[in-house]
Amino acid sequence: MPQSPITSFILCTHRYPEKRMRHLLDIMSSAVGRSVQRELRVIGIWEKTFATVRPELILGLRLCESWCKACEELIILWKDNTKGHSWVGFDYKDEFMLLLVRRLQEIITLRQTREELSRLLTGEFDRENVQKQMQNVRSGTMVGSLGKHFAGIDPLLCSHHTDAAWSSSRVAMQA
Amino acid sequence: MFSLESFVNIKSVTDEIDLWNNMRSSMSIDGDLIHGVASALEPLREWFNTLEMPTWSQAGEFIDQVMESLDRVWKAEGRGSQV
Repeated sequence: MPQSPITSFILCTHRYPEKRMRHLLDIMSSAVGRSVQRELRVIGIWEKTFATVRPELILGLRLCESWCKACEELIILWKDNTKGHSWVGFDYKDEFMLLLVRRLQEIITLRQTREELSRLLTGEFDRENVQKQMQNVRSGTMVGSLGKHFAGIDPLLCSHHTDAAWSSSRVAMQA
Repeated sequence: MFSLESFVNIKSVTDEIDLWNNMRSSMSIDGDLIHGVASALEPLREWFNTLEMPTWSQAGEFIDQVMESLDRVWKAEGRGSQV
């Protein structure tokens, strides 16, 4: 039997509001992003060898990516009418997490490129032991130069305000 | 007076968990909704209290737990009342 507008009004149930959920996702995203930043700040992104920092960087990146994907999946689920409580606003994307994902990808690419360059410079005809020693020396020097290019810049501090300084240092280093 | 639409004082996940837990005794709004949201959020307290990046082996468990809890929060429903 169809309900009159008045009956529908009276039977209106309380649900967790979308605006409140969006805010909760914001503070959760922020907490996850800050924990990744805090953990990665102490590993020596420029100072340590790529083999040392790579697993930590990948872990941080994967966690941020998984977080963004989880948020997207929840919204898709909720848009598909969850017992009368549908997500009706625009999709949820946390800007800070997206910036952090991009920054981590750039850091990994920079370190990886340097690693490959140092391998090439070592040459193919060196004996195995010599090659390893030279690689360590050259890799250390090159990593040191990366740190020099980004001196004074916190690589994990990412916002639209800090993006310009990071990008110009990256471009200058690659030139 | 609590309003579902107001969250200006909620600065952390723990703030939100505490708010819903504290309301269990006051019952200022729908009791079923309060119980549903508070019990759905409670498993997240430990994760967000430590504020440490989960290890790789924990990351999947963390994401799954958050998704499950938030989905329960979204689906939590009050009895319905005159509004």
